[in-house]
Amino acid sequence: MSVLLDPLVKAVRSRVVSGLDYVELRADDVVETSIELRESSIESVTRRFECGHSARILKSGRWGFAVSDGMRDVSETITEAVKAARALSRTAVSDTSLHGVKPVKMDVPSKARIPLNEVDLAEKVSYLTSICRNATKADRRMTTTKASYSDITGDRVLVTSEGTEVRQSLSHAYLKTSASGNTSGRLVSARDEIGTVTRGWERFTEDGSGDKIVERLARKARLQMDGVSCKRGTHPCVISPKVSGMLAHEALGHLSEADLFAAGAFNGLEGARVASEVVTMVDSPWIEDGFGNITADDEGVLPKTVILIDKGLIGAQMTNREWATRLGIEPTGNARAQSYRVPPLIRMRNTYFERGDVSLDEMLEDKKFGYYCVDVSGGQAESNSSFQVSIQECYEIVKGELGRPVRSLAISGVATKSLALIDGVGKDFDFESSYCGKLLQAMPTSDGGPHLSFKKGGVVFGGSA
Amino acid sequence: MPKECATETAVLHVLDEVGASARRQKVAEFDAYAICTRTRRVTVERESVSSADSIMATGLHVRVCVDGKVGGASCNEFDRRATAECIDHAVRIANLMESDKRWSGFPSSSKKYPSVSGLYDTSVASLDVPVMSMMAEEMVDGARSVSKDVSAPYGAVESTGRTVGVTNSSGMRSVMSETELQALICCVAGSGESISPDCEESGQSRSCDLRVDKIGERAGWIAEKSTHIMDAKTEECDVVFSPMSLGAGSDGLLNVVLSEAFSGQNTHQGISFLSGRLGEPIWSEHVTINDNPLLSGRCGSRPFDDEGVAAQKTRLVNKGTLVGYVWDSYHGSVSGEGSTGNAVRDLSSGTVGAAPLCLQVMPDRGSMKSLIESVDHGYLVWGCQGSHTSNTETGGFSFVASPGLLIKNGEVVGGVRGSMVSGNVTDLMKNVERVGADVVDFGSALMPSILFRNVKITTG
Repeated sequence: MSVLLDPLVKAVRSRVVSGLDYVELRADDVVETSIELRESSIESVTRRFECGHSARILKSGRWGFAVSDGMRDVSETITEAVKAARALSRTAVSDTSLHGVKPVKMDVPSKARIPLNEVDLAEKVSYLTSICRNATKADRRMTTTKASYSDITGDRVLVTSEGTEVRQSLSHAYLKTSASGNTSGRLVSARDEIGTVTRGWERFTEDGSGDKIVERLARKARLQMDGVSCKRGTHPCVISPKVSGMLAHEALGHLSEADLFAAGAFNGLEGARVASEVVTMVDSPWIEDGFGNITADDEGVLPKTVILIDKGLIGAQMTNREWATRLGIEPTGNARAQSYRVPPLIRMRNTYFERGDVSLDEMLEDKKFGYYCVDVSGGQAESNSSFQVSIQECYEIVKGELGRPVRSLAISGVATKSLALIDGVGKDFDFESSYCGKLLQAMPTSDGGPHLSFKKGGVVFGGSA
Repeated sequence: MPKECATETAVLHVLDEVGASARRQKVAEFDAYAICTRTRRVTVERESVSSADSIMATGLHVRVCVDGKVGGASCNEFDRRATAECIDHAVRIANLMESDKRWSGFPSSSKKYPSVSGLYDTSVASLDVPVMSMMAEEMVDGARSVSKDVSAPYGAVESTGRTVGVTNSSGMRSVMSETELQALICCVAGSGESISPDCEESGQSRSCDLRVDKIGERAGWIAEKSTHIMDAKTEECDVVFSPMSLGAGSDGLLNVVLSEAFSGQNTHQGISFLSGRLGEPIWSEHVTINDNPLLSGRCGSRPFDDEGVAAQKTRLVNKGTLVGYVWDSYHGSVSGEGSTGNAVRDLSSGTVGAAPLCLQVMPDRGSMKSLIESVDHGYLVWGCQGSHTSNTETGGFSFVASPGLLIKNGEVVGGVRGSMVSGNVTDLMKNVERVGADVVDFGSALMPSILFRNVKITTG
């Protein structure tokens, strides 16, 4: 007997769903472990237990959604969602319909080799403490280190009135570390993030992962201390796979989400050229170690790879079932919800530029002066294709060679113009794991690509912060 | 039973259950925070109301201290089994920790709570979906009244009734109920190269007095203005920041940076650019800032903090001079400063730290319009794209003014694209020229519009 699946299946087969166009029931029974360290000492360790369910229903073309804690009275939650949909005013949208899909029945086990919930808390605390201590030792100017770790294990279930039943065993973990210091009266800080949605504790312990985090943190912090200010304005530049991933995600990915496409800068430009033919960008449901990996989306759709930019031309859009109907295309499996507490939205998964054939040295060699942006600390997109990316590791390029490190800064641009100024696509590839925010929902995603080279005018440097 | 009574009863019951369970498990030192929320929301998509949500949520966070070792656990169910398991896990975690020699116990209930009126309005608590649906339509109509070229890709009207309670082994037992009505709309206008950025506008109130049509009109006005694209240049000039660009919870520049910078916990650990600067004239004399959670009917107001300590008004900056930080009980005790009633609890991570409850930038005079009229050449920043990436430890920021608009001879003449604004909050606040009187309530901040001199603008 399944604590989550059985009550949902029973409810979706009960009389309460009769007359409804669609019923989607989702439930979580999870344990989240959070550990917060500051200055190498533990600030808090907390275990959070969460069990609850939600009902999303479509009735006469109108959506209703209700959430309830625990697993009692699922039928009552459906009734609450129906009441909400019925109460919408007559002028509300009533033409919503969903693209049909073949029901799926799946049981997706965790692929973790060392399950996160079987690792002692003491071992996790010890691992984090060691990172914080070693980061401070790596450079005595670093006075404060912080580590925020959380993992989620448990079950997530989706049941629909069409017969879909998906049970997933969750193994999510995320670690954010930062180091701060003071040099010549100036505060500096650097941060690092790693995460997994497919692996277990081995993600943090194999291949010297902890040592690599310390090495990265120390390097980025030193660069901040020793760095020079960036010259404001536009310059030729090369961006690393992590930065190109952020660009893929912020500048182009969001614009290719069908709900945002319709109101954004790409609307009316379907099939138009926005970049040179060496530029291809995709959103994929599965890459090795991808933080955005999914097996089925939160509407029960088996996900597909979507080619967003195809040899420089605007390609397909990412959809849920509702937008697939509107656009008359197959759903792509991009409906994702942070938890049962919120309805699914159209979200990216693993978004990246495809490789090209240029080496980093070749990109650098023709630049008299410019910047090489290596690592990011966040970003944001707008529907008019304006992007902003915050950079925490950057170097000058002087006469084709890497020069002095540059203090943290932000870059920006308008994607519809910037893409046309890409003059080189690297033959390497890497990606970054992070959380993406949309309408207050945070979803794990991976963003990546090869090195990219931009001509002057493609990217604006806002000056060191 | 009225909803307020129902949620209060549930919260009081679980607090009592924590006490009883702690006694059964022989836990002498504990504290608990319980929250029960009922939310109704209608969502706008492509100018029309598209869905209605009804959300009930409960949360319980428990901390225990065993021989100076503190552990925590939380859950989302209020029954006896869940409560007992929570305490059991918190004890197990505490036993893994090292004894904290600086631990001085959970706070006592010695101080009387201030009277804070206007926190609960039955008309908000009882708002139903049809009325909220009409409000959402009114908001969209307000936006569309500006121009037929304006569209509203998304928006929402949300009413929340919430009861919060705190108890601990030092005799604390406090409960409060509050309501909140929020409205948000995003407008765009134009197409192709002249398409505006996302122009968001929002409002929130404890009561039903929100003018949703005006919220729509403001978002529509900005979107329409933004389609008239003007050239910007790299320069240092006068910039007017709207209340939203400074005070919004997730991306208002001052709210994002100062909420961390004024935290006593951060200043004590040296990870705030305000560390060690008490008594120094750090900013323009036009700047006075309080943390003030005692104002009647404001969305950030409350009688006690997340540890149950009485809330208070704390002066942080007085005419440009830094005069205070905010403290929770633990860090206030460690530093010797004492709590200012500013404990903020994160139910997910289990941390209890110090942060302003309601950052109040004291208004001066005039509307945003009058600030704009005093500028011959400059910009209006309506939104800060990427301000969440600001460095809260150093105060550094670099964001895109989006929407950003050009001001010529005291008038907004059109939108600018991709103009970056960069600098450091300390330098920015030294250059405050005028503070408006048009205060907007963002819950965690009460923010007017502000005119700054010599702001760095960078364009491509």
